[in-house]
Amino acid sequence: MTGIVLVVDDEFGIAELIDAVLTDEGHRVLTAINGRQGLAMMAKERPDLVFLDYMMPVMDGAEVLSAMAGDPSVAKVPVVLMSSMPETTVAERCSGYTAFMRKPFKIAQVVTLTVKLLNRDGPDGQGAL
Amino acid sequence: MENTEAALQALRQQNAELMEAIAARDTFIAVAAHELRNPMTPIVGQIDLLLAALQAGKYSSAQVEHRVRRIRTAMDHFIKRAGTLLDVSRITSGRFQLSFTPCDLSDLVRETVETFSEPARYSGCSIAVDVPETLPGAWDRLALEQILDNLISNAIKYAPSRPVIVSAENLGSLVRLTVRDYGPGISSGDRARIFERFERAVGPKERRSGFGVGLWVVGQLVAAMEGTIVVDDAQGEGSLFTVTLPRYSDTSLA
Repeated sequence: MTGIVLVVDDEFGIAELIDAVLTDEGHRVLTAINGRQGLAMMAKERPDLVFLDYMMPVMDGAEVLSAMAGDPSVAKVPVVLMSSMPETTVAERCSGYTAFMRKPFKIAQVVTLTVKLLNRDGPDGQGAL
Repeated sequence: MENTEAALQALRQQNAELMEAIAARDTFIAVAAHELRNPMTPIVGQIDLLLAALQAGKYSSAQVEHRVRRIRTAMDHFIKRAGTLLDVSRITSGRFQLSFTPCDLSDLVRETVETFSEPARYSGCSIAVDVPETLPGAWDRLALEQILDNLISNAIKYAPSRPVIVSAENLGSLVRLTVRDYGPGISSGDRARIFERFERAVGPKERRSGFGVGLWVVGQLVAAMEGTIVVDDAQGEGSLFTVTLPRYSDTSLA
């Protein structure tokens, strides 16, 4: 199953990489440079999956997660949180994400997670991982 | 008795300062690891992507070239970040030395801005360059590149979808470099602390991408070149970084 994937990362190199990997897999990929731009894009078009960087200027990953949790239209969209810091550090400020991907990641991980999260069971795609 | 109390007090004070220094060093190591892991991601990823595509035989030679160029750019980015961290360590230990060579500041500004064409496009910024045709002098080229690099990189990240203006001006025995953005600007409280050493300027839980390391290094490099840097609220909106540096001529170095 293919879908709309939104990548929110201030680093051009990372956004471009995930974009290239998932476009090759047949998904439609949108990119945003910070959390605020990411939320604005979600408001226009509901993505099926979000890759979200933790540390970003203007609005970071933690703020995006809490904004998404408070918005019924995107609250159920699965989110892969990304950081070069360990998950335990990031989890102090973040909740509500579906999976964590530590940087540097392997592109196979991006592909596997995307397949897994886009093909979850249940009416809202909210089945167990 | 009073002396003992005073000595104890002094020891406590010393102890607290040492603990603070250790905590600062630990934060630096954590920040350094982050600063290097982050730019490593596109390098590893682009190579993986290229390998997979080559194995599947689905890339044209033009696509291969495109990917290899991306790897090249990502490597340059990594080397710059590593260089910054090396500078931090050299500055901290007092082993930092400048190396002045003749160069043209206008060329340097144009070339540095050119390296930002992809990231600027990604953030929706257009970078305008306002420099005289030539601006010869002698500077530490790497230090100048780092200063510009950090200021431009911040401008396009903190003020996306807006123009950025980079200018250089010949003031005779001085030159003035400015980087102006039209973003949210920097609050007066933040303006006072952005050039401070990063681990003091932000707590670990507030760390944002790149915040602190870059501007602290910029401030140190400018000071090493006997220049000044100030940040103002640009008239209207955004921020304006102004760097003023001595302009040594080729011959004045001898």
